[in-house]
Amino acid sequence: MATSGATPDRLDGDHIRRFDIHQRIQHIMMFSSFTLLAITGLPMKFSEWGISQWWIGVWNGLDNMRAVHHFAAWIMMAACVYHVVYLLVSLLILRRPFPVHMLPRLQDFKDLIQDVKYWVGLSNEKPRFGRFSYREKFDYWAVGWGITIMIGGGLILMFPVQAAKIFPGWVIPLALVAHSDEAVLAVGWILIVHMYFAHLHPLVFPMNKSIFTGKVPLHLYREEHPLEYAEIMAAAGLEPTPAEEATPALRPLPESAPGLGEPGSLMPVPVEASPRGSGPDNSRAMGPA
Amino acid sequence: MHDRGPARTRSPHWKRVFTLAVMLAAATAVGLGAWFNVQPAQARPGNTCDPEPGHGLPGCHVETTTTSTAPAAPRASQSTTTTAPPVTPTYIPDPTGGRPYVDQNNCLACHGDPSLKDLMTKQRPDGSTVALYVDPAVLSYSVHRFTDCTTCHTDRPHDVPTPLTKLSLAEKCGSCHQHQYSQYIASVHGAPQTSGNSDPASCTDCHSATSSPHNVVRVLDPSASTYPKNIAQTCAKCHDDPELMAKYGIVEKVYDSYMRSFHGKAISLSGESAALQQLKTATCVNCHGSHNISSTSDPTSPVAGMENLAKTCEQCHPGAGVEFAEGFLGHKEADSRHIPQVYWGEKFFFVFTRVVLAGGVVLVVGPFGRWGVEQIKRRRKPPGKEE
Repeated sequence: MATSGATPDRLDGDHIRRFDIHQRIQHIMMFSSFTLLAITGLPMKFSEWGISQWWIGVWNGLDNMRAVHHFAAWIMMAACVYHVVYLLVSLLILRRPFPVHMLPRLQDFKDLIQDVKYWVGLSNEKPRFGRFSYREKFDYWAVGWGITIMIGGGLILMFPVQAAKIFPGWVIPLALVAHSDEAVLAVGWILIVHMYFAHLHPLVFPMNKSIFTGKVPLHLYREEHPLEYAEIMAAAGLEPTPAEEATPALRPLPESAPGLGEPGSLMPVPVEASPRGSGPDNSRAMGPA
Repeated sequence: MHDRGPARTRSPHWKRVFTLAVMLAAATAVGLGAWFNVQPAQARPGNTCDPEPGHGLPGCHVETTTTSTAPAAPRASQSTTTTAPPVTPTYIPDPTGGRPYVDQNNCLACHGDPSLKDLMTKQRPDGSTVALYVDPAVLSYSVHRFTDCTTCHTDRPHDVPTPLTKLSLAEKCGSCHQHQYSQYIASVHGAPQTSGNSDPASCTDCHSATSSPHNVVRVLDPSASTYPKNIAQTCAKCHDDPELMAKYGIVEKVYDSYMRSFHGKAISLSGESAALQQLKTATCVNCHGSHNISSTSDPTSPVAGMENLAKTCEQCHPGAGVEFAEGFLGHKEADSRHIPQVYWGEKFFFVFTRVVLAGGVVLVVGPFGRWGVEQIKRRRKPPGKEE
């Protein structure tokens, strides 16, 4: 998030660097602890389900499973501390620019409207995203909200007696409500939305390895973050390469050539009408630049 | 899921001592009973018991030679050596493969005979029927299987006015279990019995799955109705009966709310094979008491008022104060008056989670739907047009 903007050093062969090593480690800590927390926490919420009873038996009892739940919770809290420290070091010590790309802005809402129009067929243009799409921003800030609820509620449930010394007694049952409901929301969101956009959607199926390698293939970056892609290329002073020529285009096509190629295809479809070729979703490049 | 209290089981030490004392008392009773009632054994082998009432114990006292070869349990030798009865106790091996038990006076020759089951009944004053048949298979798993029938049923069982009431049953149990009886008879369950109200539970209602004194098993036997994992269900036999509870003005759904609570979930989530150490969570009796249970409106109840409740919480949650106790929903659901913060919190998260997840579904269905439509369109087109 605090990486420098569209600088030439982002380019790495036929990839663009997107995540630095700290972000990748933070993500590994987050998803591993999240998975552990989910599989050890949901049986406590849905305790009356047969599968919960069976799963607790696998752990040889609630005590063991709860111990793992608490262990994973500390990992996730460590990941949060890591992230905050990372941000502070980036800003205050390394003097990197403030990660403005992650801040919500009006354009995100316009992008959402444009996306909805595209989905329902009112428009043939997809919104064009910069460093982060509105979905990615939402994911980030939703985690920020969710993890506050989860850690706050979880700590109250972990230390109820101490919590009752600081807060009124009703925070304990309220923490249970918040912690367990927010957990279901988080698991649902990750399974439905995050898994789809990160791994299952047609452009990247079956898996997007960029959060582990830190790098995104050029053609994919151009598809997903066309605005920042253009900035990076311009900063690097690069002309389109032949390899690029064969990949999906950013350049607008004439209105007379709709429907060429298919959105989401990784297979480039060269089109003579455009100097940079045509490809999936050729018409969306007409969108706001 | 935050219960980290110590195991809430009764001290095994005094329990062991008590059990031993009971055993010795029972063995002594058996021995003395046998000593004073020895009659020349009359040949009444098998199930040729006289069905006429009042035929008396001596007639049924049969020394069988066949059963004396039964495997003697360790405790059996103890009971014989301590009291040295003049007759050899008969340890009957259960024909179904159960554990041996004592039937000093061969009562089960008749009372354990399934073919006589229908003959051996009595009418209660209220018209209900009480069976005088005792299933030997059940008896062989009873904690009292080495206590002879006459210990409870007296030396002249056929002269005793039967059937028992809940009160006389408790008195009978109390002849050995005196401490428990003295607590029970003053409790909210016991006190009404003395004035003829037999609605509340008596000893066997809690200690036996079928309210029968003949299949009382050890309190901490995993199959016992008093085992921590089973207590809530045992209490629910009455306390989840809306009709009975309405009669006494108990409106809370105590069983449901307990099973929803941290404690109830911890209990229900412990596996079938959970060791006692894994069941260190509060059940009904840990807060409300057991033999000495009192009404929640009784100021001496451990759950009456926040001060008492906090002290009760503190047994497992060291340092818990009144504020901690006030976090307990009290077997009630939160509503707009009862802990409204939780009620509105529930409402908020109910709406919030569903709205956000619905938005998430739209976020996925939208692009995936459009992609699918494009795929279908593309397939319908002749391939040549794509170039």
